[in-house]
Amino acid sequence: MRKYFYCLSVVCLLACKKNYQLPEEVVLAQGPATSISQLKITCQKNTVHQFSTGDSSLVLTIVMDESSGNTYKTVYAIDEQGQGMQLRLLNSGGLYTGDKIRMNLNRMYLACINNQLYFDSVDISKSVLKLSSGNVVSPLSITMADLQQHTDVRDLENLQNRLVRISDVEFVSAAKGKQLANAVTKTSAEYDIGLCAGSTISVKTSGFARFASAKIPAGHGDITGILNQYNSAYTLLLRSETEMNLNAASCAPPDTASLTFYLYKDFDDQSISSSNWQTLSKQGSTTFSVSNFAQASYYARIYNKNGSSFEQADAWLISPAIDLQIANQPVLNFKTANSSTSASLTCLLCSNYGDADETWSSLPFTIQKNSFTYCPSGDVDLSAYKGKTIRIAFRYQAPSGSGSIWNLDEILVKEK
Amino acid sequence: MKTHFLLYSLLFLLLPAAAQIDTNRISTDSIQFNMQFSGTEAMVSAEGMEEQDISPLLLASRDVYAQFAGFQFSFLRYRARGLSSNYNSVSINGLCMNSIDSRLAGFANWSGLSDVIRFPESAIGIAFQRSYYSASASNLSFDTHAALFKKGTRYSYTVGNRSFSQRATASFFSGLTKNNWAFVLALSLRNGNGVYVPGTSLKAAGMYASAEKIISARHSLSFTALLSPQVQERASASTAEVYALTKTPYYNSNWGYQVGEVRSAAQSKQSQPLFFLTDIFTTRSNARIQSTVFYKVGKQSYSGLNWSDAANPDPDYYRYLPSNYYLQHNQAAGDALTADWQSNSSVTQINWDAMIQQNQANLFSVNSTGYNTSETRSRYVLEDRCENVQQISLQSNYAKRINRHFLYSSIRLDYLSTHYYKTINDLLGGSFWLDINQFAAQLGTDERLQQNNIDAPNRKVRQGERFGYDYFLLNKAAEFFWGDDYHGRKFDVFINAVCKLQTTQRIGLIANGRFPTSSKGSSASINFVPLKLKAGIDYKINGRQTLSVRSEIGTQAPDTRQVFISATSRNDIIPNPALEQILMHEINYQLHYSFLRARIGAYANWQRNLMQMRSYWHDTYNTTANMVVQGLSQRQVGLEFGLETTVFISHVIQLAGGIGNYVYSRNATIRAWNDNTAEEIQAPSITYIKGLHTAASPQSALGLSYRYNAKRYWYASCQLNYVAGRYVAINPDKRSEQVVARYSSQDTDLLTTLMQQEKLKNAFYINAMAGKSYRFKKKYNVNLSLSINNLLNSKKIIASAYEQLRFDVNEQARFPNKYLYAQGFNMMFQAAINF
Repeated sequence: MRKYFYCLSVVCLLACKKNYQLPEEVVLAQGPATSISQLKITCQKNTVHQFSTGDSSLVLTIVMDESSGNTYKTVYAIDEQGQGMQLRLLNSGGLYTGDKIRMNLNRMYLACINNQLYFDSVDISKSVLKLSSGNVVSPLSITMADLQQHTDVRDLENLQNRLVRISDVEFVSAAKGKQLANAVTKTSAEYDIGLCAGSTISVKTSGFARFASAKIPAGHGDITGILNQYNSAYTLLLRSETEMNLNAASCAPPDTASLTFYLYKDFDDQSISSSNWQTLSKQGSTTFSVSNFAQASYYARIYNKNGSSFEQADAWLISPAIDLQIANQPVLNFKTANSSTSASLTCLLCSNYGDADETWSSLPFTIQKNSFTYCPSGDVDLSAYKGKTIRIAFRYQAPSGSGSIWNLDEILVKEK
Repeated sequence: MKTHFLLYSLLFLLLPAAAQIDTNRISTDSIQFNMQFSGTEAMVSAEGMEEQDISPLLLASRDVYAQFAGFQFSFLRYRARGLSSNYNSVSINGLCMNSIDSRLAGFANWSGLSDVIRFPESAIGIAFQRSYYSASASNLSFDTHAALFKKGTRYSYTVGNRSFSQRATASFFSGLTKNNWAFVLALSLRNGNGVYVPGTSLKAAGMYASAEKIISARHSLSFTALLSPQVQERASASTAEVYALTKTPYYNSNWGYQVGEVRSAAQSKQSQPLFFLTDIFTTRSNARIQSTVFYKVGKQSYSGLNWSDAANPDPDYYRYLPSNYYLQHNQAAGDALTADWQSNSSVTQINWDAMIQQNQANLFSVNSTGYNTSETRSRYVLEDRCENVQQISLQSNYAKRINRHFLYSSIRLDYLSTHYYKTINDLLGGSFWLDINQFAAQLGTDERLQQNNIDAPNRKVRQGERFGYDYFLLNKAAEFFWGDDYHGRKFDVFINAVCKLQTTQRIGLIANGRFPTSSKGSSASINFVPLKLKAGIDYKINGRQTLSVRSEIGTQAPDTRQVFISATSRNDIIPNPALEQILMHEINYQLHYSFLRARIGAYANWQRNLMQMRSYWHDTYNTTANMVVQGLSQRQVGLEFGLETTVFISHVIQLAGGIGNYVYSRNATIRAWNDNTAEEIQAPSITYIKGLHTAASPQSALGLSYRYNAKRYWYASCQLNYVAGRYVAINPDKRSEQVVARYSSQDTDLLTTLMQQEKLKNAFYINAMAGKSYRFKKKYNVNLSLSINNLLNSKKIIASAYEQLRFDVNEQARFPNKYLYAQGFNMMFQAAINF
């Protein structure tokens, strides 16, 4: 019996989980309270001030965090009087919209540069104590006229770093229908919004924002975001695309002529399938891929040579949905090159993609045989499809036993 | 009984805890031999390395080359014939224990039980077995029937400074009782705490119980249970920069201080008992029918840090190293960090206190709503990646001798279910962990995209609860094995063949937001029908010399855990999962005289259509990528030899070595998918690896041993070993068509650097052993043994190395190779008593 007892003891011994002692929670020294107003008043233009006279506290509520991706290592907060402040963090994460925090300003840096007010290099593990989370802060309702005054950061009426809702605005015509930023290349973009006729403010969006690919609404209404400022110019930072409440009728008709494109694919992001392009091999394993071999930039390439033999192939490269709702005279453009036409490349169009009776029709375009010098396709007219949502596809067909290379690049659907 | 009790008590007092994977073992039959699996063998496998990287070479083998490969060269991960560990098979009671998914043998399942797990049968190379189809590199066959053991008791105690510091064993053998029963009970405990590498530890027990009833002269029934629970804290591989900064080859990034106490983040636990019920029946016509029911059930887990909305806690993350700043030409920041690395343990090791304090401070309201002043969201947690295994196997083997022929066949059925999931090991001071995938944040604005379980969005996970992923992999197999071996006067001939039907399926238990329709439910079944055939002929030139020729050809299923593009998140299967093809040949010439034993052999092996599936951060696409390399081809050719001569009875000299060339014989195909979107981010393209060396083993090794056997039952020996042709394991992605094309058009020097495979320095080391036996009161046998490895205390020997999968196409130096160093001087002393 004792043997069994010891067997069990061994099992228990190994099953025991070691408990480690927790370190003591950090206590943040408090000191006398201060406010953003006091800091604004004492701020020296184009200087960085380090607090060194001991502990002092500032209570703030976060109004914009980094979770949308529209800012990185930067959050915005207001104090109990509603004054705004930007916090540039030493490390990303840890502060969220609705968090009420107490900061100890001792040894922190306050910058007042280019008319911007912000705390720099904020180490939240050393200088910040959260008091609560889930606090609700309503935006301050303003008009475009409010942005024309009190532009000095030291002015207590200045709106910098505040959460605002600007009413009676819409984006300029050139911006409507575009994406807020380029989510593929992760590049930022700025588009103006303002009164129907009058002053505007720029809406700046990072390519890393989760809503970067959201389309800019064409309507009229209000928009909510954080007011950023550089010298005398304000820009607006969106927290979410849902805070663009622009559904009312626009005060200007759509200006399709200024649209740059409905679809553009140049493969320079080295991805065949980015922006929802699809590859499909209906026969064989040959498929479109990205290459920059012997060319200055990346392009789509296809070749049915598999090892030392040529395989029979039927491969497709299918575009994402192209919205031609507001199109006027859309055209398709691309360029091709080939080693021969033993294998064919056709361009197809479908306006009922995904339906049970999905049909593809052929589009004529210009090619040059046996040449690796790109040949422009010419403008392929798509005006018969305006008002519709279409997809285009490139179909590569090759017999077994022979084949050819096709290169494809610069696919563009635009207004003629 | 009192004696037993006292000894047990002592044993437990001495060992507050115990263990490791089976890295040190002394066979009672061959106590003079000592396995030399270095501490690095017990270290955690990092990126791209197998979890169970234990050489299984043969302890009791009479083959001199096999002895050196198993005990001497394995110090530097030498593997006979350059074949990876899944080409080594292990059986218990005639049942092959290699897993049907990975083909790896689970040595950890019986580690520490060396007193009872003996090796009566071993083979190297292509050889026959009479109850199953054995693997191509080597085979071990254990027999655990209780009636095999003579009555007696054995205790042993070992101290050392290898992977464990203490080991104690106790074994009891009843022998065959009057009622024709036999029982065996064995226990072992091992422990070690930072023995050689800081932050590592071992705790393990081994338990073995076996009972056998001899029903009649023709019939026996036996039951065996094995359990080896163990907890191990592992070490990490690091870059040359980190070793230089810390001035130690045993730097381990997996640990740090928590309130002054050492704590590891990389802890593996295993407890998987094995049960065997074996019936052996001999018919009146002398046919032997052995039937076994095998059941394995249990759990293993690997802990690791997870973090969300926080900085990477890994102290040697590339951004925290001085080189990151030097590469950006920021000398001042690099110098400052260098100073920190040389003096500040909160920089060089995991900073547990800081992580906990960040968690404790992180009050959090989901979606920024709901006023809260008490609940904190953990930004860091310690998670357990769990695998619950359940296996049932049935095998029946029929064998009969007809004149000079042994004819045999087996039928085997397997069912293996592995449940993969994660649990919270420690919230590290926080109240909950939010069950979302932070890497999916960029996919779009739909809240569901980030959810790991769309049926329980924004779930707060508490201590011990499951989260992240939750799925089963099921493997079922039916196997038919057949063989015949003929033993003639001049020729011995054998032929073995096996046919298998194997099917694999994933069953997801939760639907995640990234793949809402393909993450939950059953995947399609993937079926494989591998066939293998091997044959050999031994020509007995005379009674002392033999010439043998052996070949094997066939197909085998890939590691079925790797046939899913991302098993943790979806059911999608890689395109065209194919059977692996093998072709192996060997020729051996053996001499066997009383003063000289020798063997020289040559071999040539080919494997084609091999596959590797890996997930890692892809800097070009800025996402986690699931990369599959298909069409891998390997070739191993070489010579091996071993000889032993005895001079003046007491002096034994052994010489053994292997000279090989192990390479990738063709280029392979690589393709990759975005882990979060299923987008194919890299279309099938060539990876230029032809001619590069495989890193499963050093290519060559040479060993010389001298042993003195004294008259008064003591011995001493010394071994000189030289290992060469060691290469860093390659990253196929960095040699892909796209990367090569980029460099070929821009910079041929960079291309040359890119394509090069680093060769590690050749290594020389000396081992030594000594032992002494006593017998007193005509009953008690005492054995003392001492083994010393790396007598010269060389700490500059790299045990293994690999290229990081993460690769910066613009700056090759950003992610340099990682290394693990072999132990310096280390020893083990054992005292054992048998009576």
